[in-house]
Amino acid sequence: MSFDPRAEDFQRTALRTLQASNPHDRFSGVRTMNELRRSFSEGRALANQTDADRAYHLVVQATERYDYELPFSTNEDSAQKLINDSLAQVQEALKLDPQSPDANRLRICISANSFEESYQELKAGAQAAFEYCKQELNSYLVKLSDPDLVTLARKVFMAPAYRWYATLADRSLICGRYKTCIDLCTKLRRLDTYDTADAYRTQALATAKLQDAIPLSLLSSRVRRLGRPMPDAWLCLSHAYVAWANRKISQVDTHILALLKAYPLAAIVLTQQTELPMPAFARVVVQPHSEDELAIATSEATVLLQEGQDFDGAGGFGAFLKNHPLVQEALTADKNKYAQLATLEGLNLDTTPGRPTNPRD
Amino acid sequence: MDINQELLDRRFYRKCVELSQTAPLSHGAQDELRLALKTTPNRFEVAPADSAFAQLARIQDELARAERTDEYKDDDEYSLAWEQRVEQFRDICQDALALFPSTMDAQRILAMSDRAADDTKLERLELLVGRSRQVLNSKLKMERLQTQQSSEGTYASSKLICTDAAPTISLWNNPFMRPYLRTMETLTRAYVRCCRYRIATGLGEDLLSFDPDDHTQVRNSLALAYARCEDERKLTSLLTRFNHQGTPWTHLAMIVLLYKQGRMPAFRRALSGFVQLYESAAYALLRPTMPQPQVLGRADVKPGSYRQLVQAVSECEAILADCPDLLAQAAEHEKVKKSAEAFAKKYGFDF
Repeated sequence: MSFDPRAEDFQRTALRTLQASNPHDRFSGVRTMNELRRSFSEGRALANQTDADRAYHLVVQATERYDYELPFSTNEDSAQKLINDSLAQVQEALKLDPQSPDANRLRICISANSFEESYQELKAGAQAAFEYCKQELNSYLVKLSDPDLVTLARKVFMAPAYRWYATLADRSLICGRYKTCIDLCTKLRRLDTYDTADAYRTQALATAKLQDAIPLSLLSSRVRRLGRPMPDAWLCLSHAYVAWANRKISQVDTHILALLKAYPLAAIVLTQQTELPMPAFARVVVQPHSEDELAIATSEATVLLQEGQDFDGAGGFGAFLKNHPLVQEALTADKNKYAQLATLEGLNLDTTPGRPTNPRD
Repeated sequence: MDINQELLDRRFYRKCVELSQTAPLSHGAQDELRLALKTTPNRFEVAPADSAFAQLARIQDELARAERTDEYKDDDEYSLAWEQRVEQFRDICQDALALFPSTMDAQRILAMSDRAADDTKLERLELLVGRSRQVLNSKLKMERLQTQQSSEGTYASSKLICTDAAPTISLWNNPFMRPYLRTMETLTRAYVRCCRYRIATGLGEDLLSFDPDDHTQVRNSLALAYARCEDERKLTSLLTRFNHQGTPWTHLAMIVLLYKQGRMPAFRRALSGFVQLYESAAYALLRPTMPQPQVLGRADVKPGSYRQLVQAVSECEAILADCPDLLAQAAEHEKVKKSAEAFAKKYGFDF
């Protein structure tokens, strides 16, 4: 779910602005874009924004607080304040646009008492969210004068629906409904052929949970055709889990080696297996093949890592991964590398790569 | 598993084979032989394999004694007693192996009771299952050949039309094959406990082909694994195969499957059926406790008793935990709550 909320906010406003510009004036578009950039950076409200756009802007602000600031909050009070503030912004957005799929989804994700509750609410609202997005896109396309903007309009206006399905798939994975999750991801990938939501990652985890190697290999080859940077941490962890579950230990080694090679400080992240707070908007945007990406993948793979009877806080696969000779071998080198980096950047050595733990826990 | 009964079966089978070499034994003679083995066992020679197997009866006796005494122990005393007991069981197994080195049951208990990590235990059991499979496969082939020959003989003599359906062969009828079947069942159960569900289904299905009547009760592990893998088709056909004669395990499997499929009204109905069927089901589900460690296999307990429910819930624990809100949903169910409260009140448990 790597949607950049701020970029999308700008694209959304740009689409509205360009729609209003004069198509016969060659320089009108350029002028309006320059004006828009200035207004946007100064945080000025724009005349041609609709209530839906303003609601989305509030959603972006709530997302920045909840998804991007909350994980770094150091104490409970500030964490609670961030949660309350983001919820207030979402409520404000809902006042502007009661049907806003993103605002409704964030409200569900932030305020639900259990995964089951959020799953049921998201499931109930999925079709309405999709219809809303479709309607908004159609009403935009009708008034559109520039045909070049169609692709961008489709991407921007349908994104809330894709995010809704992606979140629903994510919740079904956590609730243990793997086949439902796979069906939802397949549906989403059919709707959005670029797979902007990176639904294949959630699908890989759900497929792995069913411990069948063949569908997972098929999914991997499909993802490869999408042209995503490989190796992918979600796919590697899923493959490693399936191999572990089917007692094919040599195959596990291949995937662990791929992870250690592709991601910096991978051994530290794989040993820590930190469970990060779940983002409400979408998967947090990070650099591909960075340790942060691996930390997010490992956190999402908690469903694989913590399964089974565990006495030390790690499940069967989690403990296996933590104590794997390849990981342990790389751990010393990674710790030295991290110490060097920390000295260079003047960091506190007690903090480790990957985002900190959930302050709400 | 009743060691004494099985020992009798082994000695009877061995003697039958020995005597049948001269002339086939009539049913009457077989009954006489069985009675003689039961009443005057010392008159018959004991094979080393049987005397090794007989050693395991000491484990059975100790387990029965543990059942009576453990109730009054606190947690520390209980775990200390079990630590000592496991060591004692391991010594008994070593004694058995000293008498007859390939006693499969002793090897199985040693592999399971080892303090090694789960993966090491699985590896050891897999080695034993590899050997068991070889023995069972060759025995099955032999039995099939014999059945084929005898049916051909019948066809030739009576000129009756033979049906194409192969007669069902159960290797459980041969007491010397039972340790191998039990080893396969133990590994299937261990796979489920260690979250290796897909591989557990393969092994369990194999075991059912050797023992179609399922004397080892592998269907319980199979049902749980199918539910976890959301394989409704296989779970339903397993239940149909055994005429829907449910056990707490199969009922739990169905509940888990319905929850996973998001069929909430059916899930709630299955839950209320489960708690109506077993008085202690709701309490065992909402207040899980550790059952007695399984040494010889699943303990022989009264069907539907609290102990059996505790056993089933304990084996299903990882699968239930995989659906984090399932138990919370169950706890909210009015019937489940009332049933658990009623059970706790009746037997003086805290709730």
